[in-house]
Amino acid sequence: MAVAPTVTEDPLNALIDGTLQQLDITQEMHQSAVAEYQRVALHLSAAGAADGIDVYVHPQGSFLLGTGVLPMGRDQFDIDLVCRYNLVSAQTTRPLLKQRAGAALGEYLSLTKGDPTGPTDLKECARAWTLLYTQRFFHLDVLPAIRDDGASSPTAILLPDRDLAHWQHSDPLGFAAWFVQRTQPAMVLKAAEAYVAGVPHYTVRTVLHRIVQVLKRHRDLYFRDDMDNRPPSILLTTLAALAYEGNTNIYSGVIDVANHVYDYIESRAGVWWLPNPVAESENFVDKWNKHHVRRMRFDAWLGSLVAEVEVVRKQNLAMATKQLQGLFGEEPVNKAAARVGTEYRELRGRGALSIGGPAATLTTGVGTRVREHTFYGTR
Amino acid sequence: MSTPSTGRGKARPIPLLVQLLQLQRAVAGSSGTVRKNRMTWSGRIQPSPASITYTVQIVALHGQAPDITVLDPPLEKREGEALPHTFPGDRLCVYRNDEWNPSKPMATTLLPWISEWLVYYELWLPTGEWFGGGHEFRGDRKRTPAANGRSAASARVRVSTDARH
Repeated sequence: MAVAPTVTEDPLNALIDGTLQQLDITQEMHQSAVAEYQRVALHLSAAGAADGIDVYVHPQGSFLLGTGVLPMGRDQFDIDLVCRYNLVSAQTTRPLLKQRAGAALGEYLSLTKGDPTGPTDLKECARAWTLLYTQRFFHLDVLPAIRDDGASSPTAILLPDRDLAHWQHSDPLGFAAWFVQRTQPAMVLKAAEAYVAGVPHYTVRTVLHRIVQVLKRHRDLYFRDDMDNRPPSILLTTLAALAYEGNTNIYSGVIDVANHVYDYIESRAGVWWLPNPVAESENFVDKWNKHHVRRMRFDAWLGSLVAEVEVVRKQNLAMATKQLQGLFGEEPVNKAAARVGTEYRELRGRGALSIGGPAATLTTGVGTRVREHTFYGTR
Repeated sequence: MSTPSTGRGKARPIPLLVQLLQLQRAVAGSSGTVRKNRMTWSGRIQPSPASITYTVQIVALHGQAPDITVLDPPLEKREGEALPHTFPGDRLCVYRNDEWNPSKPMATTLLPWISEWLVYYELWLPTGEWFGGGHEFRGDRKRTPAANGRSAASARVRVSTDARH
């Protein structure tokens, strides 16, 4: 089984992994977000029950997958929820469904008025509703949906498209299960470790999670002033999970993924296609067919990503650290650098650090042990 | 071949030629000379798999503390800051007085310490922090033990257990 490299085997990987650890939402943040969305879910369920409709609310996307990255600056963390009504398409219309969810969320907003931890506003988007919180690190996007009886998956849903003109097939829970399975074999190992350590499953981050996080952060910066053409997270996540082949190192994994995306994106008689791996009729690159510029911008972004990661890979730790500071911000990178440095020092302290190979490279493998010593000097 | 004594006091210095041969064996392709009791060695060190290769030079006079410098690439500095854990002339200082004397093989002491110095240097450059530990001078420039080798040689007989002297 592939095992993640140690700090001395691959300090750059440790630096990237350590940086992303700083940008994962913490267990406390996760719990506080879950508590709030459960409160919302309870209210949506109660409102549905009043009309005799069962409602099931669950997270989807990065919050569910564990691929979220805490945003830089004042941007809020985006938590996507699906509010699935136990209805079939013959029992409602897309505008009615949206209104139903909107009305219940509006009630929730007024009920929690004055509660400092409650939502401060409700915003209508194309097909979802957003609960905004000024006192919290997140906002909640609530997407109303109904069950999809035509699909074989029990978790399949139908949701209105952006114009509320058609139903769209999707399956976010099925997708999450597929994603977890794609993280193998690293996931098995990490999940087993986490189980032994009593760590909740959702805090496990595999190399595939890290690759997705790097792709997303790099995309965020690259498309900062071009939001319309920004490739969606679901596209990046799917491509990464498809192209991931068990690489144990984050930066090589990113390059592998970037180099293989067109093994998966097809052109079917001139129509660009990347099917949702768990809901075949959902095409994640559907927009490319209407807006050709999006595919061109996507290609340009991939090229820039590969070039930058190659630079990071070929430079020394100092240059790589500087490059990462630009991508992720100074603070998380410096903390990760501190962990890498401290790890070297602790290895020496335990007598576990040696030099080996032709160029006196520090290693925890076979070699000449690094004896205790004290860096001195006049400055 | 001399076996260095690790006992107190009068350990015999390892001949410079032996030091040189041991260093040459430890670092592939490295080379040097011993002339008139002066050893010059240089070799290419890659301190970590994520690091570049540095050409490092050790110059030592018989029975004295060596000078360690990085020949290539030139060491960079943070704006307005000196390199940490160095002596004037950007000579690396990788040990405290009582931790090294010429009876110790450079290949198993100085060499690993230099690799370590280089890793901490690569992390210091972008962050401004030295993670390798060591003695902090806090700007007190008067205390310069082992600054130029002569004091280190005399310190050899003054084995100290005091961490800061």
